[in-house]
Amino acid sequence: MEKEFDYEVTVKVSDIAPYFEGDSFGGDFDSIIDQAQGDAKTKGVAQRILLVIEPDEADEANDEA
Amino acid sequence: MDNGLDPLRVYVQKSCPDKLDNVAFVTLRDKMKASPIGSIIDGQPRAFVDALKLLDHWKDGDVDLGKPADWGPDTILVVDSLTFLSDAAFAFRLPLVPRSKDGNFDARMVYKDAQDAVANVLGLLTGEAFRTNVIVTAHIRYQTNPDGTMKGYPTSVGSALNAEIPRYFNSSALCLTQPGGKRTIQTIGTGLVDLKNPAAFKMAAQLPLETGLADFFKTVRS
Repeated sequence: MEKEFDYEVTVKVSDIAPYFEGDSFGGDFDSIIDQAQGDAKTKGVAQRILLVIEPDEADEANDEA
Repeated sequence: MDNGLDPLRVYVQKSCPDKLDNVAFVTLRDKMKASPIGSIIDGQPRAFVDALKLLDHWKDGDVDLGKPADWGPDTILVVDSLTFLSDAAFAFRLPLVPRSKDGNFDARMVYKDAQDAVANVLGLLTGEAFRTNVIVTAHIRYQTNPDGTMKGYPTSVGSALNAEIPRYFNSSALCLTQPGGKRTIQTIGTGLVDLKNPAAFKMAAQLPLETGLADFFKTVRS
C-alpha cells in the first residue's frame, strides 16, 4: 500500500510505521501521514545547511576594509 | 549581504558557463557615510527589510522569481552571510528603540529586538513550509560558555543567540583553511566546533571547497 503526494514524496507503510503505536495509532490517519511526509521532506529533499566559516587572513582584511 | 560574489562568478564561468543564468543574486548593504563619530548609515537602514521582502517574494527589478519557499528541492537559497544580515538587523532596530528626552536608550533592547528578528528569519528559512534548500553562511566566533568551555558558534547579534543558531539546521559544516592555505569543508566536529549532518556515517570528513557542497547534497540524498 502506498499513497502519493504532490511533493514528489511517496510515503509507504514502512515509512510511517514508526508513527504507529503497536498495532494501532493515535490521532487521525491524515495527520500521521502529514507528519511522516514532513519528516521525509526535511530529511530527504530540502536541506538546511549552516556553513560556518573560519576566516583566513584575506577574509579578515576584506571585512576590515 | 556580503560583497563577495566575484569568486562565484569566476568559478561558474570557468567550470560551467552555460549555468551562469541559473544564479540570481541581490546584494544588500546599508550605505555608509563618514561622520565626526565614525562611519554611520547614510539615511534609513534598508538592508534588513529588503532582505525580508526578498525572502518572502524574490523580485529584483524586472526579475520576478516568486516565493523562495516554493522554489522546490532543485533550487538553493543562499544567505551570505548571517553575520552581515545580523548587522543589518541591528541597524534596522536601532532607530526604533524608545529613547529618553536626552536621546539615551537601553542598548540591550536593541540587541534583544535584533536577535528576535534574526531568529524569526531563521525560523522562516528552516520551517516546514519552506520547501527549498537553504544554505546560510556565518563567520565563526569563539565564546566561553558558562561552564568554562570554549566553543565556536556562528556570529550573529551579540552572543546570546549564537549558540542556538545550529539548532535551526539539520546540517552544519565548517569551512576552514588547512596548513598550506588550502580551504576545505569539514563535516566532522572538532573540539571547538560542533558539526552535524543526517548522513554522518556516509559523509566524507573533509570535502574540497570547490565541489564540497555538491558532494554534501549528493551524500545526504543518497
